[in-house]
Amino acid sequence: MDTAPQHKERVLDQNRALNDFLAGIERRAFRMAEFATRDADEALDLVQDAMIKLVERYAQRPEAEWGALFHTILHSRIMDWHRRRQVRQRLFGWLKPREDDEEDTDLLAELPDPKGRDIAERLSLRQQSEQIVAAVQKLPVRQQQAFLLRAWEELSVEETATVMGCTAGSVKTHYFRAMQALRATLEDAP
Amino acid sequence: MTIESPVEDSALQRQAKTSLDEHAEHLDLRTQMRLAAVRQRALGGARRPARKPAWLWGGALAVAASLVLALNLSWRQAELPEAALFEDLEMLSAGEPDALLEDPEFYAWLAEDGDAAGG
Repeated sequence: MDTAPQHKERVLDQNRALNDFLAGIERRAFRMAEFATRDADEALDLVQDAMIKLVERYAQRPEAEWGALFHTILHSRIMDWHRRRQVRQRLFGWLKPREDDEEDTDLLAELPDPKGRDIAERLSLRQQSEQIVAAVQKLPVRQQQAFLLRAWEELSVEETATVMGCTAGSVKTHYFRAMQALRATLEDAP
Repeated sequence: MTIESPVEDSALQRQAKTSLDEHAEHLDLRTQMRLAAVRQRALGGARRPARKPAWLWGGALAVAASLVLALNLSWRQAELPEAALFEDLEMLSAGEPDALLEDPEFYAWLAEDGDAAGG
């Protein structure tokens, strides 16, 4: 059994490890949440919730599991956010006049391209990067999540399926469609 | 449907990863500071803000339900089933909506993982 100083040292070590882990993942997590919500404040809230839950409930788990756990929590928060938003839209959306009968799910396509300014002045590599980011932002949320977890976080199909709570087959389908969409975007780009 | 070669896929994947990394690196200072604050709050054991008392939610729910039902029934008859409406309201006002909505497979995975780790 640990003595008091040993216990204190162990807690400090764990806090340092958690801090390093979260510091290493927070920017990508924020961008993931921002892609999904298109709102920086909402994204920060989701990342904060995921961090708090990881620290509160899973800090004692082996460090190697934190990544998958964090992404599982964040993914869950993102999907909750989308469900609640859809419910709100279903309940109260009709109070606001709608310009047309567009479906509620394709949130990203409704906004103007955030990177559309001064694009002619940018270098082609930079342009391509921005086109990729914009294309990722426009993906439907499940395709987006599958793509980001696989291509960016480099999770395996099985790990991605666990994080997303779906089958490996669904992950492959979402990922394939995301790749198709990205390829099409890049091909159509000037 | 065109199936792209794995080589093309991996090139696009690498390109996307580089672009996304760059995008994440170029966060403005304010967002970086807010993220650091969020992290410190999480590490400091911050709890989520206290929820409002149940009676407040109940009152708000009753008022909202009456208003929505009245408007809904008069303006959009038969477009939204009542049962779905109540489900939606319940989801919005539930004390722990996250726990309700989270995928149960996550907990199954955690339990299995915990059992495996525990021997």
